Amino acid sequence: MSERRDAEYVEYVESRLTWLRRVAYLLCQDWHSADDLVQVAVTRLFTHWPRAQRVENLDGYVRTILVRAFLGERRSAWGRRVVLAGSPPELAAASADRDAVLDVRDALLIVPPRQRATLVLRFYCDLDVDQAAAALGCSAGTVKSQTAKGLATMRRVLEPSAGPGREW
Amino acid sequence: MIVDENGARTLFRNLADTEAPPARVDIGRAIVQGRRSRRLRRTGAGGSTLAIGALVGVIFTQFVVTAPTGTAVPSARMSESSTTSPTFPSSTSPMPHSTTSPIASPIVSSSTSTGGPPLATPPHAFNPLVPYASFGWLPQGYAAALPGGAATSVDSTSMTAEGHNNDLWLHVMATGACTRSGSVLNCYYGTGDRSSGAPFTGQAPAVNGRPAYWDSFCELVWEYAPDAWASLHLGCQGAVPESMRSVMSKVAAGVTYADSTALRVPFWVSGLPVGWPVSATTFTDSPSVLSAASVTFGPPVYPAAVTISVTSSSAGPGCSFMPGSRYVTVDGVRGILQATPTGYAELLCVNNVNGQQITVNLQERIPGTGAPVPGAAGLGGAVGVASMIHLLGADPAGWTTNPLR
Repeated sequence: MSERRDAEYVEYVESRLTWLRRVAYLLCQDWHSADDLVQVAVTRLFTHWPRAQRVENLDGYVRTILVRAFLGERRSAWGRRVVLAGSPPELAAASADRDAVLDVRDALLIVPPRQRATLVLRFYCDLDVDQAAAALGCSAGTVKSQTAKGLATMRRVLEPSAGPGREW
Repeated sequence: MIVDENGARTLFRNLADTEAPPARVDIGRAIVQGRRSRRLRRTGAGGSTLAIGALVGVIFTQFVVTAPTGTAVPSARMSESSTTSPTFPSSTSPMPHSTTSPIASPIVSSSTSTGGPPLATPPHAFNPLVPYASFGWLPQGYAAALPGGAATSVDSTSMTAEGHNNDLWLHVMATGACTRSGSVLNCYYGTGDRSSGAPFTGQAPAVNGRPAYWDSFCELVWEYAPDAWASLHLGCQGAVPESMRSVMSKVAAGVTYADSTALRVPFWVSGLPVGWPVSATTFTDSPSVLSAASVTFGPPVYPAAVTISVTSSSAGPGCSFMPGSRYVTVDGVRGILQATPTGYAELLCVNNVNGQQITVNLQERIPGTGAPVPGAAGLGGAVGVASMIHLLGADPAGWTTNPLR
C-alpha cells in the first residue's frame, strides 16, 4: 500500500513540478529560492499525502502549502536576512521583452511578500477574492486591500506618472 | 505599461514564462524527509520511546486559533513531551464522560451541551451520490459551503469547513471501514489504501455519549456508532490546542448522520464499461443545492479509474498548457490533453463549453503496479471519455441525481 501511495505521490509531483516552480519563482523572484521553496512544499505535501489524496482540489491544496511556506519563510529570521534584490537576474538571454520583464521583476521585488503572494494568487493563479483569501488564511477584505496596495506599488515603478498627485 | 488587473495578468505570465534553469527539486529527498517527519510526529506524540520523547520535548508548535466568537485567542505554546503513555478502555460500548485523561481537559460534556442527534445505525457501504453526514454546527467565522469542498465515497463522507486560521476537516466512516489496534485507528478510504491513524493521546469528552479520543494528528476521533468512526481534524500538527478542544467537541456533537439528500450532478455519462459504478464524488455542501463537482467511476479493482469534473468556467482556474501537453478537439471545442510522465493516466481539460469547464482524468494503468485497469483501454483515452459526457447546463434545477446511464 505504501509503495503504491508513494508512486502516486511521485507521479503527481512530477506532473506539477513546472507549474509549482513558476508560482514559486513569481513569489521569490529567483529560481534558486524558488526551488528551495518547492522542495519545502513537496516535502510537506508528502508528510500529509494520505490526507491530501482525499482532497477534492489537490492543486489548490499544494498551492496553499507553497504560499504559506513562502509567507512563513518571509516571517522567519532567515527570510528577513535574505536580500533578494541582490540576486543576479536569471532571465533568458534571448527574451525579446527582456527589459520589460526585468522591470516587472524589479517592481515585484519591492512589493511586500504578503501583497506579492496575493497578486500572484489573483493574477497568475487566477483565483477569485474568496479563493485567494482561503489560500492565504485571511478575509476577503484583506485580499482586496492587499491587491490594491500591491498593484499601486507596481504602478509606482512601472508607471512613473502614477504618483500620488496624479489626476485620474 | 498599464498595471490594472488585466495588465498584471499579462505581466505575471510573461515573467513566469521566462526560461527556467534545470530544477534542483529532489522528490526522493522530499519522501525521505517527509517520511521522517511523519515518524517523528507519530512516535513522539505517542510517547512510546524515551529517546523520541526527549527529542519532542524541545519541539514546540505555535498555534493562532480563532475562538467561537471569532475573536483571536493569544497564541498558545504546547509541548508534546507532556504526553505520558495512556491506557484506553474498550471502545465498543458507550461510555460516560471521562475525566481520567492525562491530556484532555474535561471542558464540555458534549452529549448534554448540544442535545445531539440520536445514535445512528450506519451501513457498511455508503451511497457516493448521497452524502451520509454533514456539519450541524460550526463556530462563527467557519463556512462549509465551499465549491467542491466535500467528498463522499463508499467508505466515507468528508468535508472541510474553512476558518480564518485553521480549517476543520470532518471524516465520517462507514461501519467496518476502520479497525482499532490498541491506541491507533486504521481506516480504509476506498482507493486501495488503509490509512494508519495517529496514536490516541488521551481520552476526550464523550460525543453524544459515544467514546472519543484526542490523537497526535490534531484530531478528535469518536466512535459514533458501534464499529463506525468519525474524526474531526484541525488544520494543525501535533496535539489539539487546549483552546480549541471544547469547540471541536461541540462541532463533533453537532454532526448529522444518515442524511438522505441526493447530490445533483451537472452531467450524465453513457458508454462506460459495465461494472464501473460511481465510487466517489466531490460536492459543495450548500444548504440550497447539494451539487456534485466531480464524479468518479471505476471497476472494483481500481474504483478511481475515471473522474469527470464539470464546473463553472468563471469559478475555476482555467486550463493550463504544461510542458508535454497538446491541444485536442472535443466536439469542436479545443482542449488541452496531458499524459502523466509514466503514461499511466491522461488529463483532459476543456474550458468554456457553454460557460462550463470539463476535466477528465483517466487512469489506464494502476499506479504502483502498472497493471492495466480492466476496460480502460477501450475507452479511447480521456478524449473518448469526454465524448460520452452529456452536459445539463448551468441551472441546478435541470441537473440529475443519476449520472450513470
